[in-house]
Amino acid sequence: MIHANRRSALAGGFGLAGLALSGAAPAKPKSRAKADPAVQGPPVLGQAKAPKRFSLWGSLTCPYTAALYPVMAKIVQDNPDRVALTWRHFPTHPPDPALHVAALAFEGPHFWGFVGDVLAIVWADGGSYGRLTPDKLAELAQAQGGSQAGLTAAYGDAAKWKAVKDDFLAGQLMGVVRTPGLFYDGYFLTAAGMPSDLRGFDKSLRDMIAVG
Amino acid sequence: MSACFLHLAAALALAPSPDMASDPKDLSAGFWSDWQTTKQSEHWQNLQKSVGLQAQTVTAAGQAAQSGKQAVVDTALTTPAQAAKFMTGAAADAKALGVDQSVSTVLAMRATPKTVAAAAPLIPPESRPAAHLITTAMTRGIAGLPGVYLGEVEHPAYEAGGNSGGEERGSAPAGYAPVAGGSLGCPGR
Repeated sequence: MIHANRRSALAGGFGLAGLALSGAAPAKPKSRAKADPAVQGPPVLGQAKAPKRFSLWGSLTCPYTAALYPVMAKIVQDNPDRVALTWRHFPTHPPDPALHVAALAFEGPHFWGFVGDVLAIVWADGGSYGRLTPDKLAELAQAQGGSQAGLTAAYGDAAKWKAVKDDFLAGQLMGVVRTPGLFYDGYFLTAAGMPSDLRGFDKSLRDMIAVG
Repeated sequence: MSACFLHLAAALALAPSPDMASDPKDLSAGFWSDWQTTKQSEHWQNLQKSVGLQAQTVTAAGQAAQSGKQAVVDTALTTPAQAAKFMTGAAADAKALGVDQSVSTVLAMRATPKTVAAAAPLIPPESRPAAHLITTAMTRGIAGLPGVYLGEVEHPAYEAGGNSGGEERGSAPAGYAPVAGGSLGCPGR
């Protein structure tokens, strides 16, 4: 279950005017043109060797992950040589694990495109994930060049489920009790949850990565 | 039956059969069932006690609620002794549960490769084989470099201590000012 006041918050209580979130749909971030097949590890938005790194434990059914995601994507987009974002899976609601596995059917920009599209629906629907039906997921997969068959293959891939589980357990040990969980340089920045003042948070994160 | 086989069987059990309905909730049922089993296991509870950060998070969240400002938790293991304690504390339970990759991710988030390497001689001999599983898992990170935190990228700042350039760590990252106001989030399970 999500925070009780989610609807009022999503209705505009974040004070997000002017941020990437305005317009309701999370932006589709730019990423590496194609994932290097030799590269293992979590999905990375931005340059893999950027000197600064955020790690985000996110849920694909969480409206607060949906709110923070475009903010982080814009920071990466605006600072391509300085900062990257690593995605870590942290399912929260009953259908969530399968959505993470579905996202792993894609690589590089298509992974981020699928994640962004799923979160955009959760955001647009005020935190409801009921519209993420098999048919809708197939439609989202096709938008990323995939297919229902590709999703089915992902669902049957034990390695993808294990990848989600590995991240989820790591997040538990890192102390993530609410999503989104954002880490930087060994600091857990959202231990109490995502700041309701997202504009202020965005500014503070940008000030932080400008240092050093 | 070997421990490796048991871990493989557990991983395979996470994946639903191909003919199962494709409803995400149905597909996810096995994942949550597996989590409940893990969560209730003695090994997991040991791991939470020895290396988990949930208690610190909850404490920080409580302080944040009182102060009206965001809580920041410094998770870093900055000395070889701290990293050795982490690995020694986690090794046996991580191996028994087959969660070396998860523990490796946590270690990579909290310590630099340099600190981890310096910790190796400080680990008691009986814990070294299991601890080795954790550090081996770290090499599965991006481009073969360790996991997430500071070590996955070859950059001079990391060798000096990380994003913060080796300077003494403060209560928050340099340049970051915790914002005022409340917090929002979806509770974990």
